[in-house]
Amino acid sequence: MKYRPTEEDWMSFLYGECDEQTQERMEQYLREHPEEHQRLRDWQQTRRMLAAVGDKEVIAPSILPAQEGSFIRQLWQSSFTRSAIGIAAGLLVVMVSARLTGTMVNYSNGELKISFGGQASQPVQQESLTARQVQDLIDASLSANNKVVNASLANNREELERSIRQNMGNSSAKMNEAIRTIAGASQEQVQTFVSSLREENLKAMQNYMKLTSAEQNKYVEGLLVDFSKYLQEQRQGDLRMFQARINSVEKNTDQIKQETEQILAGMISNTSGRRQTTY
Amino acid sequence: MHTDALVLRAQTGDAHAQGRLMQLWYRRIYNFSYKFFFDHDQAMEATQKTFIAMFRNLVQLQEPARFKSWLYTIAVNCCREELRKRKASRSLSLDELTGSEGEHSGAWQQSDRRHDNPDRVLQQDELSDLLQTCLQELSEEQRVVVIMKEYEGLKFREIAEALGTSENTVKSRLYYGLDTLKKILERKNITKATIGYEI
Repeated sequence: MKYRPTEEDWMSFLYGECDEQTQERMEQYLREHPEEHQRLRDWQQTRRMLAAVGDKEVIAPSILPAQEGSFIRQLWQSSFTRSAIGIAAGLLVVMVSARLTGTMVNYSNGELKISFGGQASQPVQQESLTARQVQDLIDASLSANNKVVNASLANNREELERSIRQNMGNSSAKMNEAIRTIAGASQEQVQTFVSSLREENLKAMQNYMKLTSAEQNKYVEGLLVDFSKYLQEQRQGDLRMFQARINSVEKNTDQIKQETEQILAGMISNTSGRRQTTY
Repeated sequence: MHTDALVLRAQTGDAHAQGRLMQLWYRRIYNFSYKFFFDHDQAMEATQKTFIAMFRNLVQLQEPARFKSWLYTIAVNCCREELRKRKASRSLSLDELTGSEGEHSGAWQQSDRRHDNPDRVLQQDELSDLLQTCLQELSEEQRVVVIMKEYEGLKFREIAEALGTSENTVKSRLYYGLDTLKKILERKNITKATIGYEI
């Protein structure tokens, strides 16, 4: 059977990594088939061209890696250790928070009881009242309340009456004292009092009239002064207006005079021109 | 220090060994990601995620000898995740808008290429960009295998381990990947003669 190299044989031979037997077979095959040398030459040519691609320069980082291999670090980084530490930390947080909040958990008689801030108190079961008992309790309470209210009202009324009586007594005593004083005064004293009142009234009237007349004089004087000032300003204004009118009339007169002179001059010049033409 | 020893020390939590591991492999993983995406930002994102995942899961690595394929497994997964995110977001990176890294970047300042002939550097960059554009036209499976084999120098066994598949599948993907690349290069008329570059 004729040997025909496989793809693997070709590559092993090309890179010099084939065993002795394959090497001999390949060499024999190439001797018998010189045209197959071209295939080898093509690959070698391709390889030589590929060899033109050199290495890129690169700087390796100078950092030293951490000691990944240490047992303690690996232990800490294992997922089991992390999970266990996580569960333990969670339990610790729960226990501390339960201690701080005074949480109590009891299980008895098939009941689970959770309480915060101390032992949960057992609620006291009380017997319920009938409607009649409730009505009696309400009535008793209302009657007791009415008694208290009535007593309070009577007490307030007595105090109010006593206060009114006391005030009325004080007022009547003062009025009696005043009446006694008035009744004790003599006729002369009354006349003296009336005359003094008249004199005081007269003096007040005189003062008032004096003050009033002085103010009126002052007002009239001010009025006269203001009126004279007004008249003066009015006069000056009229004078200025007259002056302006007179100036305007003079101006118009001068203008008319000039126009008349021009017209006359024109007429004279025309007349003399006609005479010269006639001669 | 050998990678295996570094891995053993890093597994015990030795920060210095972990930092040294990153320094050793950062450039390789970045360049793998860069060729996968042909985009600096996405490559950086995928690289950082790769190393974060590496440090997180290093303890679980049973055989330090398989560190290389194990690291590339993480890198491929991060790149695929980033690719899904890019397809979902439909966003453009700055590199796509402004071009690749400029001369002002830190990487350029540290690079020896800045002392080369500017014309030659420009020519190489253009060729590199052209070829990486061709790489992007491959399917994701073929692209990963081609990058791992051609640029990362992984053996077929290591690639198979990294991708969680058989060696034959890897070889098959590479076979078709190289064939497709050859056709793409021909279609784009990219040859030694046309680019004037001495391969």
